[in-house]
Amino acid sequence: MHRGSVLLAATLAATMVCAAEHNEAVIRKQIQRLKESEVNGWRKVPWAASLLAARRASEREKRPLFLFTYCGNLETGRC
Amino acid sequence: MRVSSLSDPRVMDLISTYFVPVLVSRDDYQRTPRSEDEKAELLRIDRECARRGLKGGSVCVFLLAANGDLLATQRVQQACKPENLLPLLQQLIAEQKLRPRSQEAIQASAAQPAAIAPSRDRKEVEGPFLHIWTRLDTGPNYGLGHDRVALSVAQCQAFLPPADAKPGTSWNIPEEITRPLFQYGYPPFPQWEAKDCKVQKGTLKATLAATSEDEARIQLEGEMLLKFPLGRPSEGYITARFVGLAREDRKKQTLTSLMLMSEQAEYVWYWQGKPQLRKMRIALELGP
Repeated sequence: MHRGSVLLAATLAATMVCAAEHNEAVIRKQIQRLKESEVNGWRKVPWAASLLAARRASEREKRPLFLFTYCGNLETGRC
Repeated sequence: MRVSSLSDPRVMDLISTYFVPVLVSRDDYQRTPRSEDEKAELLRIDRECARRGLKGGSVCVFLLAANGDLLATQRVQQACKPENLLPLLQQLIAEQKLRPRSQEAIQASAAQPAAIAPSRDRKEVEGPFLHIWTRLDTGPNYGLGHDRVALSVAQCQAFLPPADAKPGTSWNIPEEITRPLFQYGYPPFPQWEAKDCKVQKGTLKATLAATSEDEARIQLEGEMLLKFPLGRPSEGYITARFVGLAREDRKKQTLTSLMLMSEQAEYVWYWQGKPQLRKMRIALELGP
């Protein structure tokens, strides 16, 4: 009887560990999939560091400047 | 704009090759404030736009000549569609007979990729940080919201089990710990400010799943109800159920891993009194 209880407890503990490990792999994959869903082509554009830096480069190169103004934070998607 | 025109390969190619491209946030949300000189230059551009009767606004594309004169503008409502922005760029390139920029020139003016700034809503600047990603899975694509929030010592400690806890022991993470984290679980919308969100429910139950001499593994499950209006006076609510895991370094008694993923998350807002439902995903993860 005692041996049976110990065996049952060990089995339950192992099941909990397996469930946790399974969940971890699944959750990690779901988070990764969410992160990879980001559309981030815009990050590859060689944006100047600031408007003034862009104005200086524009004058130096004698070429037009593309300015996009927005509200919020483009980098965090809060815009 | 970020997930449409600015990520369209044709637009990216033209603005990278023929223009000096720059982005300017008008309110520096979650960013270091701009210099007074920069504000003055932006004001000059806005005033010239108004003086010449061009279509401007807070969210707008401005094309400037090398001497700073305004050449053309396009509001976001048009510019967010590549088929509107491309002809404007192509016309200017043709009119000015522009030649591609040299790689040296591009490299000289390009900024270093900046790390995502922690939210300025919080005072802590030291890590560890909790990253919060949100996405709408139905309706127009607004991309991914990604906030990075510093965790306090008290917030980290709340996820750790009591010293003498056995596997199966459960405890509740206090709502004063969870609320500031769940506050960022709102969808990426043109209305973006975290301060507009009110956490109405933020429960999180932790259960010690397994322990060893070195490590404790903790399972997490919880629920969130977040009020987030999409424009006023409409009401909007996010409901989500989370599952997750945390790990503790037993010797250092520190939180080494934390992951939470929404199992069911929905954003409901109201249009003319009728509920509009959008599925979404929310993830939280400890990271650098």
